[in-house]
Amino acid sequence: MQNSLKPEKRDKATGTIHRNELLFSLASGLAALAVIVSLPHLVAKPKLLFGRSLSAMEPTLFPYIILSLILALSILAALFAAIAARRATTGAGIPHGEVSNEDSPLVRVAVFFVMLVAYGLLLKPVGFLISSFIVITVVSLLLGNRNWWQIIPFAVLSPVLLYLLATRVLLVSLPELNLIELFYAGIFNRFGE
Amino acid sequence: MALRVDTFVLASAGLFAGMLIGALPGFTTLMAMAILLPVSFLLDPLVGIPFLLGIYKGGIFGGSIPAILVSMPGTGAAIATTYDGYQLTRKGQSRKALDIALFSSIIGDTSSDIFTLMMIFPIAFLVMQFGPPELAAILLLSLIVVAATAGRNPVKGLLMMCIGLWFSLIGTDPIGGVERFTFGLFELKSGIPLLPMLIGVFAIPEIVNVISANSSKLKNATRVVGERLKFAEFKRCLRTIGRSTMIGTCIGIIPGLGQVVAAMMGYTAAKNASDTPENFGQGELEGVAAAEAANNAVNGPTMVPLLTLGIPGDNVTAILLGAFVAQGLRPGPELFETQGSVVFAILIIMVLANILFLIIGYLAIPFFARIVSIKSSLLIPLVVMFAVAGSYVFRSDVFDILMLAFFGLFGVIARFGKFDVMPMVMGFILGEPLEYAFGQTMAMSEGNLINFALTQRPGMLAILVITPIVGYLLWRSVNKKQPQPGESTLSDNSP
Repeated sequence: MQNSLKPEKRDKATGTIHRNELLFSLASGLAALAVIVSLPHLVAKPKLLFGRSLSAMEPTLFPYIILSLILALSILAALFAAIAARRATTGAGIPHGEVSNEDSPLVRVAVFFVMLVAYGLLLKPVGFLISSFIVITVVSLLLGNRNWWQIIPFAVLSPVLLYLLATRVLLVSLPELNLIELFYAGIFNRFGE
Repeated sequence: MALRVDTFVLASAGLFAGMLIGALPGFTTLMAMAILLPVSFLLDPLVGIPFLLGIYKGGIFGGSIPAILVSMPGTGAAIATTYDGYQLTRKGQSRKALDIALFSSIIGDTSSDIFTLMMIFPIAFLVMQFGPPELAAILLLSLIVVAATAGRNPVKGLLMMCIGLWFSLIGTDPIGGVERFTFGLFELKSGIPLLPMLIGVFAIPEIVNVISANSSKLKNATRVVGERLKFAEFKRCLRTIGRSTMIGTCIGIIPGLGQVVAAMMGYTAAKNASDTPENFGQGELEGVAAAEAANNAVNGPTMVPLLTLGIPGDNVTAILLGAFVAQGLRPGPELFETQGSVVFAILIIMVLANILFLIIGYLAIPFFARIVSIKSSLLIPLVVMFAVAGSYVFRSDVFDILMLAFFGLFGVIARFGKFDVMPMVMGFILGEPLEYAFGQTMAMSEGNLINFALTQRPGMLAILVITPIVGYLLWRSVNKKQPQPGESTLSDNSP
């Protein structure tokens, strides 16, 4: 909880929040501007009947309204954030050269997202069970668990249980290698007989 | 219609799952709802929605278990429960504290559900008189209300709402049927999939929270000890439970306030009304009863603005809104006209589910107490697997997992800057009907919108006039009651 922090640390945290707020607002504004500029290329031409549009509203009208609002609001939000950041860091800014101790969590978060994308990309080629095994192992390690006797059985059994629950009970498909699917089919067919 | 066996089985499963996840410190009801949302999509609305409602109800109560046993609220809603709950545990009366938490939660929940059942249909009847222009105005009002109650800075809420509206434009234009912002990707032609977005913006930031904090330190096994609650003690708390139920019910109707505010107000009111206020914070049963009755009494009334106007009260009800939409039950005036019987059945189930709540809660308290000590390094990987599998199964498309990662990253970045994602989700869900109703209104007005509103649509005009006023009043009332930014983390406010 932040209110248990010392005042200078709290100010530093507040300053970081405002800086993130500023960056987010600026990124939103720039993205909106880029989309507004390229809007004619991003929206297909409306269907015409005898040279007249079929609908009462151009397909670009609503996007123009929304994007203009995003642009205006992001400028306002950026302004507020800049003012607040200036106030917060006047007395307790992060001195140049100071190394933030937040690097380690950021690396963990970055690894997590890389792994999430890899999970998606591996799902079809290697199947649900193997990709889940890898992900469960990596996330457990990321969270500081070093007990392999705990990690390995857990990483093997939980995907198998979820796979069986999804495919046999909820009757939805999860991608799996033919070999493994045939193995399960064999087991269940034997039970069926 | 409501008395189906499968409905009650799944509602019980939802209650159990909700209590289980709520009992885990660091695991919020929001995460449980987001992760288990895909299961509801695969079921009939009369089974899937009660399943989610079970998670909602169970999760809010489940959060009180670690709050009482280890002074660590499982959910934001249980913060006020820690004040007296943990003191009772220290005195060796944890069983008594858990019993009063369960009974007051059930009384608060049941009473507010009955109130919801009585209130919702008259309001819906009024709302059913609306046409496309009024509907467009109502949708705009809903969006403004959600954006205004999202935090101290309404500009940030409005910005997120507009970003959500833009996301809703991706795909095919609902009026002319032309392609927009698909960037040549076939997968985007039908728009952004709702499920990966919901799981991404709500569950992934919660997972990242645990990963970045690396807080798998709670290892001490916890046991429930002491005598059970006596009837005389329960009777002494009844007045407090009644008061807190009323407070929670009133707060539930107002979007944006939620369980945290209700629990705090219920607790403060009980302390002020007590003859022995000095006992509060020292292990007073009434303190636990006040907080728990108030936070659970919020659950039912949040359905009034959600189902009649499509306004969710908090992040959890925003997920419920997504579930209703995915089931073909779009909340708003039309819902009561086209699916009135289904809505009635769901509300009846909400009331009846409280009986299951009592049975499951009473029997499973010792089990949930043990769950409190499970390490997150074992549970978080499981949640990640559920999130990915849940995003994939609905369309069997790997693109949806990439969408999950994209929206997860978006949610994390937004959280870093203290931008609430709820207005974004609302903008996304209500964007398409808003554009459609706006297009119909434009066609009806033959291009002269102002003249049309002034001369033919006084209802629409009235709603448009009150929109900024309502938005301002709600923004003011929410910011009077909520903790200031910098005083608490975002997850503290998550139910």
